[in-house]
Amino acid sequence: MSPFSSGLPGVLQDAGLVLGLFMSLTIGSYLIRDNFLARLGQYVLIGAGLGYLAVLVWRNVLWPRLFAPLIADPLSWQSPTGSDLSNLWLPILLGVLMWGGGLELLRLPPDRFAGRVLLRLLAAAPAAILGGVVLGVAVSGAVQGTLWPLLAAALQLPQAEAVAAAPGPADSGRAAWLVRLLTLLITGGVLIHLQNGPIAGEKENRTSPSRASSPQEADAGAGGRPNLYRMLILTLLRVWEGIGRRALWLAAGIIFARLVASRFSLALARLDYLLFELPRSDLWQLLWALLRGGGS
Amino acid sequence: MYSFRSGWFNRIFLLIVLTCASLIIASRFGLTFIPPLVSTTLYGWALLLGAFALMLGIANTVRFHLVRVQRGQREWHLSLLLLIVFALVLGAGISSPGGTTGLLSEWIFDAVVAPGQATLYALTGIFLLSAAYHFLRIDRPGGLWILAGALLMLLVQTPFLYRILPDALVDLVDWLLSWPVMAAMRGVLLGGALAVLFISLRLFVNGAK
Amino acid sequence: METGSPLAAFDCPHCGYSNPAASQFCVHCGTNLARRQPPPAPAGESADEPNDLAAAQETAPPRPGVASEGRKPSAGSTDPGAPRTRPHGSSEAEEATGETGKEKPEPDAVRPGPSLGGLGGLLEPADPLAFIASDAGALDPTRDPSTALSGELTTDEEERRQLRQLFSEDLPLPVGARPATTSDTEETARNGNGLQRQFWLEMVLLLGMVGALLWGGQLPPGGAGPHPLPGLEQVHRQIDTLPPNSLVLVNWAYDPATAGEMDLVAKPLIEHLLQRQAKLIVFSQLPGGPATARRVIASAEESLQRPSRTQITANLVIEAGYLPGGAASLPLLGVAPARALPVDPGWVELRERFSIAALGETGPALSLVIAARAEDVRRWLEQVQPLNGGPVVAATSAVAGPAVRPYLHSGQLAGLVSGWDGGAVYVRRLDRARGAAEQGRSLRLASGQNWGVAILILALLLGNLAGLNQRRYR
Repeated sequence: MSPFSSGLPGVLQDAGLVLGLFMSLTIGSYLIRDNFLARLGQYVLIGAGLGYLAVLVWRNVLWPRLFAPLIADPLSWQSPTGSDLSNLWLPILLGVLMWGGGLELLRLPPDRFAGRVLLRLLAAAPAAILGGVVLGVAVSGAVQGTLWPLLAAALQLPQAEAVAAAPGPADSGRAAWLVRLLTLLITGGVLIHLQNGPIAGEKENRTSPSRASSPQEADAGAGGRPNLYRMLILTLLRVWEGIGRRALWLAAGIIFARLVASRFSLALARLDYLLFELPRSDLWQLLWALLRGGGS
Repeated sequence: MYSFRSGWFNRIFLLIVLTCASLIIASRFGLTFIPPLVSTTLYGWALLLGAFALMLGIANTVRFHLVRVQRGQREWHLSLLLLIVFALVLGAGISSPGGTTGLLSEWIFDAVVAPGQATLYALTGIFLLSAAYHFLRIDRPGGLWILAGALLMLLVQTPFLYRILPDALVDLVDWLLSWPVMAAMRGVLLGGALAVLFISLRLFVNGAK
Repeated sequence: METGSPLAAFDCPHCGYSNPAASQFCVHCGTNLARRQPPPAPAGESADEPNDLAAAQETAPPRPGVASEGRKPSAGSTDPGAPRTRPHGSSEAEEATGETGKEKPEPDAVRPGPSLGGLGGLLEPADPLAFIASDAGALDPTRDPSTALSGELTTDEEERRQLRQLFSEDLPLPVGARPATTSDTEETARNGNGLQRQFWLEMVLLLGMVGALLWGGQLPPGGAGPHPLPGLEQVHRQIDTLPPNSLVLVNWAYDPATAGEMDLVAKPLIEHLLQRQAKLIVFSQLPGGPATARRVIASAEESLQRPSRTQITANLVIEAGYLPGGAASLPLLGVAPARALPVDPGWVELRERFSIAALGETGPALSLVIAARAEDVRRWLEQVQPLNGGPVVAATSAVAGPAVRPYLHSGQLAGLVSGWDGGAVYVRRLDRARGAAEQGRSLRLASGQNWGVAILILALLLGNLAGLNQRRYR
C-alpha cells in the first residue's frame, strides 16, 4: 500500500493488500482462459473505476470550477464585466442542457410531447460546441504543431548538432547531405505510399489479364504509342514509393521490438510485485509464520 | 413530424460546429479581429463540457447495467456486483472532504484500481509472444525487413545481448533510429496531419455549400 | 449475378475481421461497414437508382460528399468504398462482378465514396487512406474501375493492412485469419480472443520471467547497463541547467495500467527536477494520472531522503489535478494556465506562491510530458507548445519513442527518454547513491528482459520454421 492510505487502521490496510492480490489473480487468470473469475475481476475493476471517475469529475472539476463559485456568489451574472456570465453561467446552462438531453435520449423517443422534443434538440447545442472546438484545435494543431514544423525540418539541412549527435556515416559534411537526401526520399516515399498504396504495376497486370498488359500499353495514347514521359514518371514514383514502403517495414520491425520491451516491462513489474513486494508485507509474514508453525 | 434528420436541424448544428471551429482557427493563426478571450472562453467551456459529458457517460453505463439486472439478462449478477462496487466507491469519495485524495479513495485506488489495471495490461506482454510467433514470419509481405528491424533493435535494447555486440552494430541501430526510421515516422505523422486537414476542409467546404 | 448469400461473412477492409453480413460496424475495430454498398442490383433495376437515391436523400441527413458530386454518373472514378464481399475468395464471381462493373458503371451517388456520412462522420473512425485515395484514384486514368469493384483484396492492400495493425500497437491478426470458420480459431474464441494463442509458449515465457526475477537479482552487475538511445543526453542537459525555482509544467499522461514501465522512466526525471529545486505544476488528462503522480513524486522524495514530504510538496509541487476535455481543453495550458487550475479559494495562496499568473506571459521554463502513448506527446506539441513556446522534453514508453522521434529531429522536442532502458541509464546519471533494494530490483528487471527476449527470439525461430513447414506441406 502507498503512504497515502497509511492513515487507515491496520485491518483495512491488510484488507487492501488481500483485495489487491485478489484483483491481480482473478484478472490474471485470463491467461489460462476466459473464465468466471476473470470476468468477476473485470466487473469489479470497471465498477470501481467508474465510481472513482465520478468522484474525480465532481470533486476536482465540476464543484471547484463551477458549482462552488456559483453558490458563493449567486448574483455574479450581474457583474459589469460579464466574465462570470461567460465563464460560469453559460457553461452550466450548456452542461445542464447536455445532461437533460442525454438523459432524455436514454428514454424512449417521444411522440408528441413538445417539451421533450425541444430538450432533445437543444441538447445538440453543447455537443455542437464541443465538436466545433475539437475540430478547430485539431486543424490548427495539425498545421502549427505537425505539418509546418515537420515539413520545414524535412526540407531543411539537418541541424549540425543533431548530425553530430547521431553516430555513424552522418559525421562528415557530405554524409550529412546524403542523409538529408535519404530522409527526404523516405518521407516522400512514405507519403506516396500512404496516398496511393503500391503504384500500379506488375501485380495489377497479373491479376487482370483483360486489361492492358503493361504500363506501356496502359499509357499508350489513341495511336497506340507509349507516352515515355508518363512511363518515366510512373517508374520513378514506383521506385520512390518502394523506398518509403521498405522504410515503413523497417520502422514497423523496430517499433515491434520497442513494443516488446514496453509490454515485457509491464509483465515483469506485475510479477515482481507478486514475488517480492507482496511477501514483504506484515500480513504475508504473519501468514507465512503461521503456515510454518502449523507445518512443524 | 419530429426528426433529428431534418435539414434545418442539421444546418443549425453544422453552423454551430463551423462557427466554433472558425473562431478557434482564426484565433490560433493570429487574426486580429478575434479577441483572444473568445478562444480562451471556448477552451474553458470544452473543459467543463467534457466533465459534463463524462458524467453522462457514467450515467449511461450505470443505466445499462441496471437494465441488465432488472431484466435478469446474462451475467446480471456480475452487473449487480459492478453497481454495488460503483455505489461504494462513489459513497466513499463523496463523503470524504478530500474527494479522491481522501484516505478511503486512496485505499480503493491502491487496492482495486491500480492492481486491476496493471494486471490487465501486463497480460498483453504475455499475449505478445503468440502474436510474434504467428505474425513475424519471413515469408509474409515485407517480413524480411520487419524481422531485420525487430531483431536489430532487440539485440541493442537487451542488456545481455548489447554487452556482447560490436560497437558498429550499436551505432548502426542508433543511426537507423535517428534517420531512416525517423524519416518514415515523419511521413506517417505528415500523412495523418494532411488527412485531418483534408477531412476538415471537406467538412468546411460542404458545410458552406 | 451473385456475390454471396445474405448470411455470408463480410470482411472488414480495415482490419480484416470477418463480420456478419448485416453488420453496420466492424465488430473488431469499429470501422463503418455501411459505406460498403450492397451487392449490385440486377441490370434492370439500375435505371431506377437515381430516383431511389433522391427519395433517400429526402430523409437522410445531408451528406457533404454526395451533395457536392450531384447525381451525375461518372464512369471513370474509382472507389475504395466499393464492396469487398469476398476478399479472400477467388475469382469467378469476382470476375463477373468486375465485368459488370465495367459494362455498367454506377453513378457516384449510388456508390458513395469515402465522403463523410453526415455529421456522423465526425464520430466515425474515418480511414484517411480512403479519403485521399478516392481523390487520387479519380484522377488516375491507369486505374481500372473494375478492379475497385471486383472486391478482391490485393496482396498490397493486405500489406498496408498489416502495417496499419502494427502501427496501431494492436496485436495483429494473421493475414486472412477468419476466426469464425476454422476449428483452431473456435478454440481460441472460447479462450476469449482471436489471436491463435500458443499456450505452451506463453507458459514458457511466464516461467522464464519468474525464474529470472527469482534468481536474476543475485547475479553480479556487469557491463555498462542498457544502451542509451539518442535524445537522453539532451534531457539531462535541459534539466541540469534549470535555475532553482524554475516553473516546470508536467503533463502526467499515464496511469496504473502502464505504471509498471513508466514509473521507471518518470521517477529519475522527477528526482532530477526536485534536485534542481524546480517548482512542478503537475496535471493529468487521465483519471488515474493525478494519483499515480502523487505516488511517484512521494517515492522520488523518499529516494532523495528529503526530511519531510509535506515541506517538499508544498514548496516544490503543485498538483493541478485532473483536466478533462482532451485536446479541446489542452490549449488552455498554453494561453491561460491559471484558468486551467481549479478556482477553489484553497488554491489562491498556491497560485500566488507559484506565480501562476506570470506563467501565461513568460511560459514555463520547461515542459515535461510523461506519456505512455505517442499521441499525448503529439497533442502537447500541437496544442500547447505553439502557444507558450517553451522547451519540451518527453519521457515516453519504449513503444512511443520511435513515433515521437521526428519531433526531436525538428527541434520541437528538446530531449527524449524512452522505455525502462532509458530510465535505467538516466538513474545512473543522477548524483546520488542507490540502495541495495533498488539495485536488486533493477538487476531483476534487466534479467527478466534478457530471458524474455531470449524466449521471444526462440518463438520467432519456431514460428518461421512452422511457417516453412506448412508451406512445404501445401
